[in-house]
Amino acid sequence: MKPPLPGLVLKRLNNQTTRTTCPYCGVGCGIEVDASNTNLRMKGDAQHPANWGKLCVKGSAVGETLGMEGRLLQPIVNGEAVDTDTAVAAVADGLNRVLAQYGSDAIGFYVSGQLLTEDYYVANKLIKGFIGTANIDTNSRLCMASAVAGYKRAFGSDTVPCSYEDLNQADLLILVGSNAAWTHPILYQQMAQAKRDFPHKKVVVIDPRRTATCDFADLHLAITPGSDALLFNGLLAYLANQHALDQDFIVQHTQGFAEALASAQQSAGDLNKLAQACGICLDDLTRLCSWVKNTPKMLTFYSQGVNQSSSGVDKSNAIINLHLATGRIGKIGAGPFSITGQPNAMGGREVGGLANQLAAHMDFNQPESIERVARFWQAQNMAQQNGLKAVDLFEAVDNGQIKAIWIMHTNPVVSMPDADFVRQALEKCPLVIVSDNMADTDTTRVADIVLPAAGWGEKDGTVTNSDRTISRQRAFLQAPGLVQADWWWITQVAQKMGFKTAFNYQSPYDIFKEHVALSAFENDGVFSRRDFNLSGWLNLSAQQYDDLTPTAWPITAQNPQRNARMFSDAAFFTPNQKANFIAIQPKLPLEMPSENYPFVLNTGRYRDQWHTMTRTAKADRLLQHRREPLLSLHPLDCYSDALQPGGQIKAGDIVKVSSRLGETLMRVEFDDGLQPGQVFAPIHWTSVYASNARIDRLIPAVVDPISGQPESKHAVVNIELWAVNHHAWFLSSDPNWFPSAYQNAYWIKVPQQHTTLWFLAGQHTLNLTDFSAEFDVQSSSVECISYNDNAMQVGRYAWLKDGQLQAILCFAPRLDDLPASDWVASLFNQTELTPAQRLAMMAGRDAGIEDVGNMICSCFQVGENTLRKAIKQGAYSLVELGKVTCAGTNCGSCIPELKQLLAERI
Amino acid sequence: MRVATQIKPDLLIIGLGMATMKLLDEMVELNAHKRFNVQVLSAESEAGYNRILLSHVLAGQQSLAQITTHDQAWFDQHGISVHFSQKVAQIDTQKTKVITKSDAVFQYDKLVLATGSQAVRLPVKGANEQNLLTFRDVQDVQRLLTIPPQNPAPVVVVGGGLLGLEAAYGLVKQGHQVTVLHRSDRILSQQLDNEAGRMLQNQLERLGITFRLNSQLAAIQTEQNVNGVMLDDGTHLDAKALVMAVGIQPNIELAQRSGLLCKQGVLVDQQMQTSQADILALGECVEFDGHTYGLVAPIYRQAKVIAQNLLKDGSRVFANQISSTQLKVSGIHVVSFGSPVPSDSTAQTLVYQDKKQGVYRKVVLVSGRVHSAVLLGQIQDAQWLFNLYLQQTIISAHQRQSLVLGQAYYERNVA
Ligand SMILES: Cc1cc2nc3c(=O)[nH]c(=O)nc-3n(C[C@H](O)[C@H](O)[C@H](O)COP(=O)(O)OP(=O)(O)OC[C@H]3O[C@@H](n4cnc5c(N)ncnc54)[C@H](O)[C@@H]3O)c2cc1C
Ligand code: SF4
Repeated sequence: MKPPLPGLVLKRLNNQTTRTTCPYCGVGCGIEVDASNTNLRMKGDAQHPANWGKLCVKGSAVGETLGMEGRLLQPIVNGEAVDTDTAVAAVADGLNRVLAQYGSDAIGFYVSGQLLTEDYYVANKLIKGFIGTANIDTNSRLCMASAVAGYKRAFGSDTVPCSYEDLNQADLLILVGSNAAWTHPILYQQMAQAKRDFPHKKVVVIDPRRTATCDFADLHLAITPGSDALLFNGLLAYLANQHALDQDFIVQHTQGFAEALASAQQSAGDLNKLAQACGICLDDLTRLCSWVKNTPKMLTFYSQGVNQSSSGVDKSNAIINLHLATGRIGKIGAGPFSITGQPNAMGGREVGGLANQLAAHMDFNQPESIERVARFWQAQNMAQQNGLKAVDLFEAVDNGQIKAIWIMHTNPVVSMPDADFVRQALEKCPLVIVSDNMADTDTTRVADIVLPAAGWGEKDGTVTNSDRTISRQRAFLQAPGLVQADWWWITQVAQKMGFKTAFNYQSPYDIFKEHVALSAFENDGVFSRRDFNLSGWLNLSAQQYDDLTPTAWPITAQNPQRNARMFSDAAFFTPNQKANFIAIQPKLPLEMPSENYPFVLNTGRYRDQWHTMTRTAKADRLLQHRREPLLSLHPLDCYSDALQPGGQIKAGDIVKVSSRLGETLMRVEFDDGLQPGQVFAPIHWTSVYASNARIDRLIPAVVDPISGQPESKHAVVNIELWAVNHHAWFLSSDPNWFPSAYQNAYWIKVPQQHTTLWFLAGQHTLNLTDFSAEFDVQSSSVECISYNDNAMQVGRYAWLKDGQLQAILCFAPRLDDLPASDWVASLFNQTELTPAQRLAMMAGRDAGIEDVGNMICSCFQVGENTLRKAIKQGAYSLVELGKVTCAGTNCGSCIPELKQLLAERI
Repeated sequence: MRVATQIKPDLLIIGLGMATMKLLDEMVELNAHKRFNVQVLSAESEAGYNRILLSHVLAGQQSLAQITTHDQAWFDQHGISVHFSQKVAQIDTQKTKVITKSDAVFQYDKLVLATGSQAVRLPVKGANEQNLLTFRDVQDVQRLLTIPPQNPAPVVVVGGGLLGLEAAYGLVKQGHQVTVLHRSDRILSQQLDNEAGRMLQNQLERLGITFRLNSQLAAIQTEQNVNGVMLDDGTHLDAKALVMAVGIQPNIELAQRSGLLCKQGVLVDQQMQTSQADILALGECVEFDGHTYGLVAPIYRQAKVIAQNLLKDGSRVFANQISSTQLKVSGIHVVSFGSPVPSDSTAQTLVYQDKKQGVYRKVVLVSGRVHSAVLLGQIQDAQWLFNLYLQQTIISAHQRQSLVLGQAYYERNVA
């Protein structure tokens, strides 16, 4: 009873331009959607304070990801498609049964920073106030839990004390563990622009890896992985030595300074030793010291590189310590600025959607808070203590303590550390409910009940970005099939479970109003004093909610509009309003390289991909930047003795990367921005897109003891050449084709506009029928064009039906002997090929068409060869290069790569 | 008959075929003809014509006039005398003169033998001068053109080589049913491999030619005219005429009779000198270093050697070299050079195939150099490949990938 796949259906709107917010990263850019027709043209919202009209390549391609392909359109219960009522009843009954039999703590929710605040709010309310457990955690745990814990330890509240405007104002920007050029492109561009406008500004990048972000840095410190806290301790000790601290601020507004300084001096008091321990040269260190000493407007910009560590909380406190000791907080252009990765990680923090939060920036550690929230909710079964954090949650699923789990909008079978373990745990779990908008993800594969959730463009609500700005996400599309918004599913289930009145909402507006009310509830400085306060919106009407313009909290009577600078009064949210110094004992990562696992694996994002690609893989231009997940290796490491078996590794080879937990197969590239002994792999590829590239299965579930955030940026691994019989790529117009013969070998799936591209490598002898089976080669309508070089075992085959290209296969023992696929892919939508094209297919390029090379600029599809040629012909600057090729003139995210090419000329 | 006033030496040429015409052209080009008193004796009665294009004449695409290249006016213009229908019967090497069948005598100082070759006629039962047609000269074509088209029985062409196929094609164009008998398992067995042979056969079948492979002619059945043939396996086929195209044999009787050393052909050295000091030979009648010839390319090179040596005496030499061949059937393009199925075990083959379009391109490499090639359907790169072969260019691992795809890809590859 599969309903036919409907196309996009526009909502009927009065106003054809919809202002909404980008669904990708924590920058939270405003997008204007021209919804007058289904072409859905997107542009940056010129009014939005996060981006003032700009968009990065991911954001500008978001319209291309909205197709119905692969969408989940109806609920599925135990493999059967059902209607919504049946699905709601199945979830409610299932949860009630577990509740009755095993109690509250046998239930867990694992949600996502992709949820809207309203969705989050009701999920949190249901589990903490009515089911009676705090076993709710979010994938934000993986990205910023350490930053939250760091802020809370220091300020008594999870308060981000900076705004994007500060990025323009700062005179010294220190980026720690952030490849902003790729992960937060719009902020990166803003910072780069500020530096261009005011060249006196200094930029320091602290990252073991030389990334694209280093491009605009005055100083790159390639520190030994994990030595960040040590470095910040060192800066604190140095400034103390130099008498360059803000003593007044320390005395009046902080506590615990002496202990913090003592630890700093003890661990990092000697600059020489410090430079050595951090693996940097003394000159660089002293430069940093003097800039820090002399620049009051200092802003530290940090993200995953700091957070994803077994001592991530300590690292963020080491950073915050430095800001407190210099009074560089609550002032223009200064502060410790943690940037989130997800569009609504901050909204999740605000509703309290983490196991160690209660709600509305209140915690379980204060009984009066629990009582207050229970009273506000009229909770029937109020949770009393912290629940299980992500890693523990899945451990509890595995050991049977948790009997039912509801996973919303996230793909933990891919993204959790030790992901194989997560898969096995879920396979055992009696009740797995998954809400998603895609039908086939690694996680829906293990679900008992699957609920079709509304996607971006179909749902309404709010999100909060990294600088506390609340923006509306607005719907401009009709939800297809039986798809419903998450808040709807959650509240329907809650009502069905018996919590009728508490979940009787008609719209996201109803929920938002309650969220506002809770933030204001007894938050008057008398009963309690909390940073998160939206009391200025208590009387917000439905219309005002619809028209809401981006606004940063707090929103109170004193400051109804954005933007109140937090901590400008230096009054923190601890009981005595003093900020805490935390004494930091720097720790190195728990697992260090050994003989068996000689390499340190670092992980991260690619510029144009997002999370586990469920969405970004749909826009083929986003896959042009990097089409395969690559293991980056320092060029010197290809000779390393550590490589087994002794062989030298070349770029393009396939290697087996193994840790004590599991192994993956990846293609190798060289990157001299890494330090020898360090390797890097992207996090995005799932088993939907790769045979075996889920990097998280290598990462041990080592967590920060305070935040519970996993050390995803660090694992020790071994690398072996995986000798292949052949490399291949296969382009097929059939989206359902699957390389069964490569199940245990290497395949990467790259969805493209008219085709699917598969990169393949096998240790077996290639069997042509694995590819041609679906073509009736005897039939007169089917034809085959081929190229064979038997001696070299090189083959290329194209199959056509009624003159139209259906599939093409190229294989060779050496990767270099495969032609390029891009031009051929463009032939798939032609009804007839010219004789010249038929021949050219086997060369992978038209003799009349240039091989443009690696795609550098995804916006204008400008390839490396084209660029090199333009440079050769005299385009010696970015501006000229842009004029000639257009490259870099739209989103600008390729500018670092353009500069690199320009630099290579000299 | 010598004219007393003559001071120029007599250069006498026997035969007015492709070899002779090329030689004359070369001499004119070098102005060498002015140094001699040049005379040509031709057994044929027509002005010099391009024999190659007889295929087009048979197919009705060109007329005899259109393929005539050296008519009386041309000879007059260059002061060269030509004598038609003068078949030479004897060479008197002692007295340096020749005697024709009609007893005319011509004196020479230098004699050039260019008598060409003739079709091989299989000595099968029932075969005779009348009922065996061949495809060699204008007269043959004229006979072929008189086969009555009303008679529905097929014309049988024996031999599926280039000549046989061109004859078959011409006859089909004339409205006949045509069956080609071929001894081996694929047509053009000298030029094509199995795959290309099959593809070409398909295309020719679509034009209306029928093939019987692996079969040989055993006997010819005649009453007045041919009315059937018997194959080696006993099969009987109706036939209204029979064309022999199983190969050629050099015309050497005259030379033999006159005491020149001959084997398969008239033996020549690298200056095209026969065993007699003042007699040269070239064309299909000669044998050099164990080779005889059936294509014009090497013959043209021989003509060059002779023309230059006549001018300068002796320094130019001829050497063997493979030639590239093509089939002249309109709409069908085949080019091949070198052996299509190499016996060399180190040979490596590159093959591009687009069956539906009738395209097959194969290049064989030996020791990293082009060794042979077969191009069917798309032949625009044939010359380029052939040059790579001639120059023995070393093909790099990278270049080899696009070699079979053609020059456009190959050269970009290098850049
Ligand atoms: C139908 C056809 C198509 C062909 N197509 C091609 C082709 O596509 N490409 C290619 O390279 N080659 C082709 N050939 C082959 C090419 O024509 C010969 O290689 C070439 O003609 C040989 O030149 P020749 O001068 O040695 O012999 P011929 O051209 O045969 O000339 C010899 C001449 O000598 C005359 N002669 C013989 N004996 C005497 C004598 N005793 N006295 C006087 N005259 C005598 C003959 O009558 C004849 O006119 C083709 C041949 C034929 C028949
Ligand atoms: S920077 Fe982030 S929020 Fe802005 S457009 Fe790009 S992905 Fe979207």
